[in-house]
Amino acid sequence: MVRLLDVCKVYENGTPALSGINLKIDDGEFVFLVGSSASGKSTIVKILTSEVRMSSGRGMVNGYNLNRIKRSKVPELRRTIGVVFQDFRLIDKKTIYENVAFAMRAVGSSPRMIKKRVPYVLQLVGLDHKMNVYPNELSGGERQRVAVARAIVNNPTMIIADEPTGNLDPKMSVEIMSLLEKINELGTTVLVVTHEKELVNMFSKRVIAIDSGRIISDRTGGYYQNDRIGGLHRNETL
Amino acid sequence: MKLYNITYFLREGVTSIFSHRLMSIAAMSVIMACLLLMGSFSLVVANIENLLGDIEKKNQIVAYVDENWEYEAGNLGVYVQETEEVPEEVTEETEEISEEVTEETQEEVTEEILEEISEEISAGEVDANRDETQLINALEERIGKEILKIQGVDECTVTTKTQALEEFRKDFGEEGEILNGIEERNPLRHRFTITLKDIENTQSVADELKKIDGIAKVTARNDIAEKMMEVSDVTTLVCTVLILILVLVSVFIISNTVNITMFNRREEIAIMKMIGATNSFVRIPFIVEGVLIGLAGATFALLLQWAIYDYVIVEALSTLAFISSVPFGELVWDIVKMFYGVSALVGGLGSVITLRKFLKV
Repeated sequence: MVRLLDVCKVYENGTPALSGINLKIDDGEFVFLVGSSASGKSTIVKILTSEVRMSSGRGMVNGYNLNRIKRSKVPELRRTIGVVFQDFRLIDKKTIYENVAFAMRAVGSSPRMIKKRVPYVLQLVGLDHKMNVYPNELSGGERQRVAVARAIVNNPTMIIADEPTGNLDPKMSVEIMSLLEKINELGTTVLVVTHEKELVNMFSKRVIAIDSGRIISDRTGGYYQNDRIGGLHRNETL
Repeated sequence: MKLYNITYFLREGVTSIFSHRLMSIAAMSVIMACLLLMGSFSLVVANIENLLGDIEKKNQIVAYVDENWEYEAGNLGVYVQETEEVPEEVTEETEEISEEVTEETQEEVTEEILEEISEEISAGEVDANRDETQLINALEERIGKEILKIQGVDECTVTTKTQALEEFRKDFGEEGEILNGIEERNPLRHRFTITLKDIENTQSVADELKKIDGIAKVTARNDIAEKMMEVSDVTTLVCTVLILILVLVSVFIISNTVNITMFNRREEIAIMKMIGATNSFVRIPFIVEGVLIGLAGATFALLLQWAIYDYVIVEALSTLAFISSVPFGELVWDIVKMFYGVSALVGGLGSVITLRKFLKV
């Protein structure tokens, strides 16, 4: 569950990133957050994960008040969110199994739980046969699936995927998106930040468009059906 | 903390050392080099202190007993007279026995008589020794006790004028015969040799000694004492300043080395933080790694230090006859404590301090 009310963010160097963002995402939703570069998408993700603090406004994520959360409680908030990055962010010196198990260890799971859960999750993403290989021995799509496995292994309430298909070919991108859709069907809220219009149009989901730090559109269905929204033309890549 | 977490942290720390071999070796080498410098310096300081201690011990005060006081002091005078009479008695008895012997014919000298002579002579020597002991006891009782009461005196030993003459004779070696016949009019005095607890007290102890009844003259090398104190003060100051500078340089170098290690692993730290790891979960394996690297560096440094000290410093000092070096065995525990303490602290603290900026994610 996400609630942002009148959220503004101005970075320390004076750069304005967000102004007056109002956003409501309920549990179990699948939402695309789209926008051009420097539109403020990444700042929203950073605010939701409490990586940066908002300059003004109010916010709530999975029951944690973003205005009042203490530094010591931030890890707890992050455990309710699984994050998938464009560049996978896997630890190259650990095997696939260890990369996923590492996320469970970080939250204090017992070795017995880890042994039981990790193979199951790797099976869900179709990589149970590559448990003992290292990330650099996998294709981009496979690495992203490992990242998804790591994001879901602790049963988070919400998955935030920040440009998850940015480094993947179209076929792999669809695969990853289908995987996220499957996870969503199991009850997890999914927020996908992307600028790939074909992909967004392929899945008939809620799409929130952002431009220059403001939400310019929030509707269900393909965002690119209009010729021009928020200064963008139909065939432009956001 | 749960057992499986401890196992995990230890395993992660050890694995990480081998995963980042080059950086681990670099950090270990830096710690080792710094410890070697600190250790070498401490050993030099220990040797200087040892040398100063030796010289300090040799810097003694000598107090001479007044000749007249002996006779005025009743009992003490009797002791001295008895001591002087003993050889005469022995001589007289020996002469009488000799006369008896000459009166008889050479053939009539029996083994029994010879035995009798030797027994009587030995008895005379025993008497002389007993009197000497009584004299020493009297000197110690009347003057020695007063000396020991003075603040700053560590110990005092008495030498009678007879003993002094013997020492004098020994100093002459083979030519000691020239002192024959001087015994009856021994010009030497009874004396007390005083060792100080601290060389600093030389002047005050000398002044107090002069006040004691029966002490005629006191000789103390104040100039040496003062020079020694100056040398000692300067050495301590220079050593303290140099060790402090060395510690600061070590911390700076180690913190930079750790910083480079962390920079190489910032991505890993950021991932840990994003998946909800607490600061301590991220920190502990790095601390374990830092401490282990530190301890390994300390072990190598200790072995090298040992070798350098035994085969270089001790060998070099042995060429200087007047300087005795302190054996490594005597200093090894201090070195072990310093090496392992400093390395673990610097390794662990270096990791904690440097990690702080990487944890702000």
